[in-house]
Amino acid sequence: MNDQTHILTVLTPDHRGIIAAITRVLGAHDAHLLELSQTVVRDYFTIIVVLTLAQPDGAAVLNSELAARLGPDATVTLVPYRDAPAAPTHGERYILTATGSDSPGILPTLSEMVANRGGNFTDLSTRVVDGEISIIAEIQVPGDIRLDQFQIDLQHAGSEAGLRVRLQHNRLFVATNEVAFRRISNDS
Amino acid sequence: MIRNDAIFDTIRMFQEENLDVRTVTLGLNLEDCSSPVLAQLLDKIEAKVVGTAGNLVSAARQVERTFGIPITNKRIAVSPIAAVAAGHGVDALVQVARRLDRAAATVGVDLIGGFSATVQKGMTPTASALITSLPEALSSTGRVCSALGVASSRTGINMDAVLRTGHTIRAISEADRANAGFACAKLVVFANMPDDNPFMAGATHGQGEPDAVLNIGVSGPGVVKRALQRLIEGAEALSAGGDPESQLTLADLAEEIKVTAFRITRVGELIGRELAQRLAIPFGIVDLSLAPTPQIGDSIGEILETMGISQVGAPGSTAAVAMLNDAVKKGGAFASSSVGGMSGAFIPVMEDASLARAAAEGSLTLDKLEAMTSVCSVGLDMVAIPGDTPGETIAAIMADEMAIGVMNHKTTATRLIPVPDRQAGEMVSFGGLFGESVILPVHDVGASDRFVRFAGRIPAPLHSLKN
Repeated sequence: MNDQTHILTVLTPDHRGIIAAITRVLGAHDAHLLELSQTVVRDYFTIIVVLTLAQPDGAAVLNSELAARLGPDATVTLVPYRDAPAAPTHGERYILTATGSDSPGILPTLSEMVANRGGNFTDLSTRVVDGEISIIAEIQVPGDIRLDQFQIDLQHAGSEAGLRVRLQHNRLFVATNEVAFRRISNDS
Repeated sequence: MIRNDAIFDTIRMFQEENLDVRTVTLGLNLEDCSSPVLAQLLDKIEAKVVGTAGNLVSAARQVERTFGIPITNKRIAVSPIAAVAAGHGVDALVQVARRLDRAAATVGVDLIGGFSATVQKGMTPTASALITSLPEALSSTGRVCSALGVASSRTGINMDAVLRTGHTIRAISEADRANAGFACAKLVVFANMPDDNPFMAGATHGQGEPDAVLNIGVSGPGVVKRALQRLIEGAEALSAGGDPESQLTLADLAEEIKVTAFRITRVGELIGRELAQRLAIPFGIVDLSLAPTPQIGDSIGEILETMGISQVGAPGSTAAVAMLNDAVKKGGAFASSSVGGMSGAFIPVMEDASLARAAAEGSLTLDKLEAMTSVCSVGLDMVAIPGDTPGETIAAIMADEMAIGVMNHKTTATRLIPVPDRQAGEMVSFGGLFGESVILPVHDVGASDRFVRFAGRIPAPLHSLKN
């Protein structure tokens, strides 16, 4: 990362040609793309891009050009990248799932319980369809906690809200969904 | 991260479709416990079982928590006692059974297998004593299971052993009259007995195995049934919408079974390796048999019904179970390089509510069951027959089943239960996982007595001469 590294985010109603439009503008400014993640959530396109600018003071121009190109419904931000301390990565990877009737307070409750045990969310998605919520999170769980008690606490919190909550090791899902069975793997 | 739908597919297998790890079975060599002094033999056996398997149950529970997968049974299979207790007599063997029972209770396992002998070509004095001891050994213990290997494709069928076992099964039933002959459910008679089978009652730690090894048996009929139902319902919905490509064929069903078996097997391998590592012993095999329980939705019969055999036992049942068995093996073999044991679809009548119902309604007969076992695992399993069925006739039923195994180079077995004082058409219930069933009629009783009384050995088939 250098002084010209920036974070670009775009939020806009989904339609065809958004990525083409963004990358065309970035190319015209000689922006060098380092990392990108994009998804569509409930018909809204969202993207986060880590990039390096060619011009020391080109951020404002790039921002306004992207906004003009994507139209008034799009929200575009471009901010300097700041080195942040790396999130703790100790522990093993688990999948937390919760399903049942939508309950407004459940995500704060579960995420607080994970944080209090020293766990860290590395991926999270939730979806509500016809009043039924499904939460899937990938979390790092420290190796020194009492897993059984953690699972009981999560299940208890879920059942109070009418949800079924499970915490299962990531390797279960790798084993049942990937072609190769890796006996020795760093995929903890 | 794994795709969200794949995560929920996996969770659904446990949460809604009864997938569990049916058994983790610790195979344990006891040959180093041999002693001509009975007290020493008993103490050594108990010390080794308790010393090696002491952590089995607690370690299995840890693995259950880590992966959120139920492990239904934790069990032990020991070396054939006829070899371990060589030189001892009937009374001593009964004491060995009781000591095994006590050791199993100490470590918290519900069954311990290996009170066994392999007699497919001949019988040592101790093997003979072990068979004699079975009525008392099995009726006076709660956890001890026995397996007898009476035939193999290499040696043929030891009809002396088969005839003797036929009479012994009657004697076991009589000895356990108070429990409707339930002790017979703890004896399996094999052709081509596997050395690494994790499923009870037939599990034995065979020759060529390590000192201790962890074998695992998965289950999952409910998962296969639901996968097929979803496939069929999806196709029917498309068909109703006018999609001409939505017509399913049996090859589509086979493919769905195969993919499902892959995932089931992977669960087994994962759990098996993890538990073996925690116990610091080698991982052996995953047995990918589909093992039903009396619970609704956990049935081989229901799979066949989903495949379009509305009454199990009807014409087409053998073809359907053959396709099921083959697809399960293909999926499982691709999932794991450690497939072993019996690895097929079990059709234990009493333990499968759908099969038990078909038997009660008369569509599933002993003869049709026998035909089905020629293409699946493992044989006439948990079949209740009238209590007055003569030993010769029981031996003849076993001989037929052994012949299927010997001639087809596959494992076959019988677990027959003559129910004292009850006749064909009456019910018997053993409760829990052992289920209930109508007592099946045995026709032409006595008509094969002359044949089985010739005794001796049915020679090995021509195709055993491979060298």
